[in-house]
Amino acid sequence: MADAPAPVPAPVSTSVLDVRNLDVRFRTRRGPVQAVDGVSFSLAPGEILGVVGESGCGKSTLCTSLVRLLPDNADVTGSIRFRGEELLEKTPAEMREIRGRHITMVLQNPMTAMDPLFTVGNQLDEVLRHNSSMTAEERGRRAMEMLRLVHIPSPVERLRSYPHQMSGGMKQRVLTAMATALKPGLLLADEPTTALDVTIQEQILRLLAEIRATLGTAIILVTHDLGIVRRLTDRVVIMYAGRAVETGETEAIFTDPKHPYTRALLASIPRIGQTARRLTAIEGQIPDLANLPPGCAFAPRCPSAMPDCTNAFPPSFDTGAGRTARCWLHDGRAA
Amino acid sequence: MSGSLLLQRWSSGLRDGMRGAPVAATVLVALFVAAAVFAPWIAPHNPADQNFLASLAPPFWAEEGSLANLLGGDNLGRDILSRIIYGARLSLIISVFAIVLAGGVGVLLGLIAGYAGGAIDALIMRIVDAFLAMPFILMALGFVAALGPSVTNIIIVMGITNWARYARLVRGEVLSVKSRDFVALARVAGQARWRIGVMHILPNVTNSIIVLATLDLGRVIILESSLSFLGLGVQPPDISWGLMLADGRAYMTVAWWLMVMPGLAILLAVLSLNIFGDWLRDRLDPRQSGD
Amino acid sequence: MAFYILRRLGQTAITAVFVSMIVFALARVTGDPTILLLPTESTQEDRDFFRKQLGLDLPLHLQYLTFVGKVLEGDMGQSFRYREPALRIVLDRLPATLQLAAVSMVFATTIALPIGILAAIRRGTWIDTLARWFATLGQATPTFWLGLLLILFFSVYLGWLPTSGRGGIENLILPAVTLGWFSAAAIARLTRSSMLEAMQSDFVRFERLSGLPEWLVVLKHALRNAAIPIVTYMALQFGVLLSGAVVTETVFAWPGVGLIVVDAINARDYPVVQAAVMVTAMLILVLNLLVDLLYSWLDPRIRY
Repeated sequence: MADAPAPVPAPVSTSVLDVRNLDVRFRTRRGPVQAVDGVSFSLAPGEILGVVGESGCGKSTLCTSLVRLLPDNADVTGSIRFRGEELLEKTPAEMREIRGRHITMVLQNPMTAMDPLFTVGNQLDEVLRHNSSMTAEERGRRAMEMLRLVHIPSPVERLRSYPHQMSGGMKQRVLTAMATALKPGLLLADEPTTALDVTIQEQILRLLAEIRATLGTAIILVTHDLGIVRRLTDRVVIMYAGRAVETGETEAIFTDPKHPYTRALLASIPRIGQTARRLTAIEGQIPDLANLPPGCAFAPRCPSAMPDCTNAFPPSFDTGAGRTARCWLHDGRAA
Repeated sequence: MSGSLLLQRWSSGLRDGMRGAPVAATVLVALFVAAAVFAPWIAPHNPADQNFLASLAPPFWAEEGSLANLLGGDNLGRDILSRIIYGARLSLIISVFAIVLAGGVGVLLGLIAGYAGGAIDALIMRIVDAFLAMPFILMALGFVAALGPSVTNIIIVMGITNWARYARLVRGEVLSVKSRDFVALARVAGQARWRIGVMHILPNVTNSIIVLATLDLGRVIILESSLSFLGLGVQPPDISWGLMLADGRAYMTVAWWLMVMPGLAILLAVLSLNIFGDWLRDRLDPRQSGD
Repeated sequence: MAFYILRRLGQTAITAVFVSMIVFALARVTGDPTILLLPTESTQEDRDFFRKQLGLDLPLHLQYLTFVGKVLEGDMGQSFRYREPALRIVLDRLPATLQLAAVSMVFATTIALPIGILAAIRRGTWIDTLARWFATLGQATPTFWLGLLLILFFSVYLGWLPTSGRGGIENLILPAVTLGWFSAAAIARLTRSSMLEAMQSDFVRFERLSGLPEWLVVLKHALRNAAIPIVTYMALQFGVLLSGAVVTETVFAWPGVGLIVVDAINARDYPVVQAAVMVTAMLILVLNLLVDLLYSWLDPRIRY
């Protein structure tokens, strides 16, 4: 069943990021763990791409692999083209140049992301100094500019304070400022709002939208929150057990999900006005990445599972309008 | 359940528990304990037997050495190997009892301090600080000098100088466990405070106590041998490695083995205990690092 | 911050009180000094009279208060042997011990810091293994044995260094190595684990993500963060060195506080023993206080 090559949309040459068949395998004591398996997607300039999935589905590993900061026991194969250049062929020095300048990242936990012993201004200046050739004066001006852009009040004082003197939301805004100060082409936001209060989440999300609007930065937003995805992203990649099980435009996926997992995810979101007594949850448990079953990883929990689903993992099928889904239901050749 | 089944279960449990244990260290620890317990059966000679002919005899691999005295003989012709084996007895007895004493007092006070909190906690902690500030060898010397150097007194003094570390450790553990959810739930459910202490807090604390005690064994052994070396620990005719070292010091230039062998015994015993303790800590209580 | 200092001062004061109680207990446990001081033919009456003179018939807490009063005046009794104030005898010997401890500290840190840092940076390599073995072995070696071995080797066999006594630099080397060995091992171990922990922190990850050069991340950020526990530990080790010097001084006949204590014990000169314990304990208390203040100065989270 699985001998036809995966019909993947042809690489768009103007895209900021082009990922083809990305594999990340960890060599562990318990054996090899495939954290990311055959993931492909592209990102156009200024686009916001959501990467959604439950914990352990590989979305964070995906992000870290894009900037090539995985630990030594990781083997990465496939292709990652950033503005046409193949990242997997870059030397460590070249990657360091790209990091912080062209591809930047915002992490989940703002509380621990900054060195507690140095002032915020010192660390912001550091990032600017080692990623550009601006003079001290220029850096100072850019720092103030960025702080204003992320709506930090009294920026001069903030620059002189230490990280522990700021709230989580403010820190996250400063970190976002650090990540966008040099107008990168790609910003990776790995669950930037998960550790924050709901009201602060709002601010950060709006900030990301603004950044895309004013700086034209493409953003990959990793999250497990479907609400955020719907509000903010243009396109989305749904991940399960390290595979990209469905990709496509956000709105299209939300109104007409093609993959059973996506359908189950969407069905489990509680809606206001819902009168059902019990919330729908997806039955079963997330598979252990070290012990994946042969065939489709979702099959054990899938309401539409077919006998063939346990034989081989489906390749990516084109489901029209730039959408793909890895599900045998969409095998054009099936009856 | 039949006896053999029980034995099977117990031994496979032991095997699982000991998985990954440092082989050499564990073997050495076992040897140390075995030497201490079975000394009369293991030692080749009576450690008190003086043999003029074996006086200052070198170890067996040297020219004038013989297999009769594997590690040589001391100035009175007593067999060094036998004396080392017997020395393990007192080292083990003193250190184990000292730790039981120190641990008993320390854990109790630590539990009280952690659980009671407030002024009692502050008071106990200041006392702990005072004991921790005391220079332990000097304090041990002082008390032994005052009380007289008998084995019992040495144990008591070791207890006095060491309890504070247990108290501090246990108090810290109690504080962190106290603030955890399951304790709050127990309180809400109406359980008596002492029951919460025994059933919930104690099991969590036990692991770190075991780790500290194991690592402490080596420390106490060195402390005791230092005291004995200074003449204020174990007294003759009892045998202690530190005492042997002190005796051997006078003959250092002509018969180095009198001094080197007991020291080597101390080193190996403490080393294996420390390695074993480190492994135990990694298994039971990884939080306790960097002593 | 000022509040923090005041609080620590208060705590130290209370702890000092308890230290004095312990020393007092030590003094009382020593036994009835009248038996020692008076000739054997003295009668019970003489002894009672003498006890009254010394204030030993007073209830315990009053005795303690007199004790404290005397201590604050600098009076810790007279040495039986030398017939001089015990405190002065101890203080006379203190510089020698301090010198030994200081040099040992220098030796220990000079070895331990580079080993620990390198072991953390080059984790899993031979230098890491070497560091871990050094740390383990060093903490298991009995100090007096090491001292004797060093004497045997460097003084007796090789004849390079003197066996004992205080004098020039050559007299300092062996004692300093002996005393500092244990501390070197302990500091190396802590340095390694502290650096490792620092290098695994979130902000290090973030700095690498931000494209900062590795040397900057390690030397400026990781090291600075790791330094706090290391420096405070080093300061505490100094206290350990002070108290552990006893054994080293005995082996090398180094004329410090430790040596005089051992002599005093053998001569039943208890006031000197008590004075030594008191002085050393107080020094360590002050040291602990300074360490805390140092810590709060190094870590801005406590400062503000």
